[in-house]
Amino acid sequence: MECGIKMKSRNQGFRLREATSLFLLENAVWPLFIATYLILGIIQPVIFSPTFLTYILYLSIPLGFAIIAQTICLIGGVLDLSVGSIVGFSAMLAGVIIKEFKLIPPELSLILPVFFGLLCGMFNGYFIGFLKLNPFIVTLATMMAYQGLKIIVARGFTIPGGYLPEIYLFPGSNMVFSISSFLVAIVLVWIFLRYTKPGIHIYVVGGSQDVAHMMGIDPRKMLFIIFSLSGLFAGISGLYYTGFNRSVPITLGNEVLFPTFAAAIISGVSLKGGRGNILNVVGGTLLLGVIEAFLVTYAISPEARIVGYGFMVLIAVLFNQFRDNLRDSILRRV
Amino acid sequence: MNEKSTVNLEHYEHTKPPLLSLRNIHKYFGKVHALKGVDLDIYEGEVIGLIGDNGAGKSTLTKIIAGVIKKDAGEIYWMGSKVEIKNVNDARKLGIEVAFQEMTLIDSLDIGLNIFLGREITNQRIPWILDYNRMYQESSRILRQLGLRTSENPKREVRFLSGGEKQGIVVARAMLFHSKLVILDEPTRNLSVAGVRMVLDFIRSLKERKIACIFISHTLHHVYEVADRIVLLSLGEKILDVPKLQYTVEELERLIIERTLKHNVSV
Ligand SMILES: Nc1ncnc2c1ncn2[C@@H]1O[C@H](COP(=O)(O)OP(=O)(O)OP(=O)(O)O)[C@@H](O)[C@H]1O
Ligand SMILES: [Mg+2]
Repeated sequence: MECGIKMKSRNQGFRLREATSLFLLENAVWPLFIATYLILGIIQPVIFSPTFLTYILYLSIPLGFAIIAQTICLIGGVLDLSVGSIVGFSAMLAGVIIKEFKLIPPELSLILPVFFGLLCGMFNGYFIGFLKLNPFIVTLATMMAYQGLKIIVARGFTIPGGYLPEIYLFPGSNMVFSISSFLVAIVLVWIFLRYTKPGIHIYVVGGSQDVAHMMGIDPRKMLFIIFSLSGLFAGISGLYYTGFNRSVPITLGNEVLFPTFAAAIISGVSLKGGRGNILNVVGGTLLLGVIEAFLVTYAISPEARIVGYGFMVLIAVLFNQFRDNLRDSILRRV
Repeated sequence: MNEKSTVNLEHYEHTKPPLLSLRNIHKYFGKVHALKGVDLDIYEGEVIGLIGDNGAGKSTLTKIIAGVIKKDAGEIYWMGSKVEIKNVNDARKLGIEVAFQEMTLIDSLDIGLNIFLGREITNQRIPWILDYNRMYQESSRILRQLGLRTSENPKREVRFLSGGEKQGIVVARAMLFHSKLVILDEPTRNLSVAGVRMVLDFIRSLKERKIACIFISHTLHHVYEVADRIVLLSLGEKILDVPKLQYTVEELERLIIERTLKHNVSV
């Protein structure tokens, strides 16, 4: 015991330095965000205004919920290719129902997209968890199915905001509510993932499904939960997109999938599964928001933005690998 | 020799029914007949040394008892009454604790969480919140009791541990949860001389506490040292089940080689 204390004090300086670099590496998305913000701000000074920064955050919230969805999947060692399609389909189906059946109480209408998102996610989860199908194939199939369904239920048209009750548009259109509810959601998900049994079991399943099974954690049940949660947050994302746009565009959700990967990975969520901190996802969301805003101020075409997102995913993966290796080399020595 | 092995006096001394009885257990993996009607009785506080060639079916038997895989035929009795062990939690409820041969650890999680995998401690006041402090304390305590250096930092991620240190975590887990039957599938693999001593002492301490143990190992000397009974599996069949005391380790070795050869030729 005494010996241990002596050793500790001798290593104090060393440990402090190691601990700081570890802390910085684990949360590297924040310095990366700040650096990007400063560089882009020098090129385009309008970015530096405080209202602009708040606006960037506000702009990123609908996508942020979809990023939460993808992050939960990646921590669980799986990916959800259908997340963007669920965003679009759940918002569209809810929008059509609200528009066609005016009898629905406006307060109740709020839960419709969330509920439809959950159903879509449960459908994925059933095939992947209980029927043991490959998540990549299942979500690839439902990505197309939900996308097609969105266009079918919309009959090819955008739903204008005039058909939707004000309270339905509120979460996504009110800047203060939008931002604060997102931050609350992030904290709740963080508590769930790190401090509850089902949450930590998502990390376990992401680490190894076989080990989970042998330790009495049912991977089938966990996969069902993971995809249900993913669908739920995609549905919430649909609700916020609707409010933000003040309409349900027929293209809603089309550009969601790639940014969710880019943001989650750059935030330190490992593609290997079982690793990642949801709090850092706020940093990833902001980082993407700044880049997006920068591109928009320069009026870069949507096509070019898609190319940009493609490369962003690649850069994020490279960055993540570099960070993980660095982190490992420090931890191995501790 | 033969006369000796048929005298199974030990069994008649028991007044209670066996803690665990396996009857006619079969298991197929596709065409592979991994277990061909295995019977096994284990009594309270008894240590069984389960040995046999690679692929003999030892781990398969372990996993059936642990509820990890399903048997294709046969019955399991627990303290005299028939039970179905459908999953790992059924086995845990009966009081069966298993340290698997595949070290069941999650590399990206810390030592504390790994020890409590699937049985995490929750807060006393807020029952759905995990109590990390208690998990780390308990982990440190049990690892220190085993004399393992990993006790110093239960927050360390498991992937940075050596093979032996990982094995130590697996044994510590078996030690932490009080149970009636502990199955250790090659717990001494990768371990140093001191580590092996620690495991063997642990098995002896189980015996003192009337906890039954199935100890699987390829090192006959280790098995001989702690086991009361030696059970030999070969190609999915039990071909030897003898009290250890009637043999020296050399005699046992000869017997095993004899039996295995005979069995493998005749199959
Ligand atoms: N999941 C599985 N799928 C297919 N075959 C399996 C599976 N598990 C075990 N087997 C087969 O069952 C037989 C028994 O394997 P088992 O792992 O029980 O052997 P063992 O006695 O534990 O061997 P070892 O000493 O090498 O650990 C082997 O022929 C093996 O190939
Ligand atoms: Mg084995």
